[in-house]
Amino acid sequence: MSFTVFATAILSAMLINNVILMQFLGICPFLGVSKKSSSAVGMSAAVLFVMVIASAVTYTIYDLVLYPFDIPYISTIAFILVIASLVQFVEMVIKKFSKPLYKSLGIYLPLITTNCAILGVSEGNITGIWTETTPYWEGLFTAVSVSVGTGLGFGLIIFAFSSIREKLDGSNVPAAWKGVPISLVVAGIMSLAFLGLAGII
Amino acid sequence: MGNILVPVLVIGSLVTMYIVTYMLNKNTPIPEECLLVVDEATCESCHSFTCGNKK
Repeated sequence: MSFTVFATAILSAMLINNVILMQFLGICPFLGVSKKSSSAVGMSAAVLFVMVIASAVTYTIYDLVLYPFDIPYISTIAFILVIASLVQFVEMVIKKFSKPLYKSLGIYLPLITTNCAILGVSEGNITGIWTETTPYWEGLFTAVSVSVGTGLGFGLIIFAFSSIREKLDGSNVPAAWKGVPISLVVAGIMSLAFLGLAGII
Repeated sequence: MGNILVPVLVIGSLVTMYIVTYMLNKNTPIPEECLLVVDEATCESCHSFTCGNKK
């Protein structure tokens, strides 16, 4: 556990192995909630918030329950249920105790239940980080670091994409390309640009 | 029998946890000052925030 591990995990998950442009997870909010920058920022904050908590909880459940009882094959369904419960719980707590936070994140939280990026990170932590010999706290620290990086990467891309889409709304795009087609072309170019970052670390 | 019982118990407990958190969340009132934000965000026909019809 060190700053180097933390920084490497964050940079790698954020830029090189980006959840949207490289793993193609979370495409639904990427296209659906990227019409306005303000919505994109709210969604990114909510995703980061839930992703970090979900990664810690799912890693713990796998390490302490699923593996010891020899039932890792139910990890996907267990993680879906854990994430769905977690979103409900987080929404309830925010509703009750932090009205300003609910005002900024509240409407995005239910959408996160169906965000496959959260499930993808949780599953990725198990396949990529968890091993029988890895000490629990070390694995948990790396899993949380990766989820922070993934959440930040998600935010970076969705914010950049929403800014470009706002510009595109006012530009002279051929009628047949307006809306989703030109957005997908932009997403493709962004993905190619991020390919150039491969090999940095 | 034991091989089936453990996963069934784990999934059963997770489903129960989801139902409990869902009911608790549903019974928690939305703060008054946030009602407008929620109303503005959702589409009137499909009640989805991501739907662009209302914007």
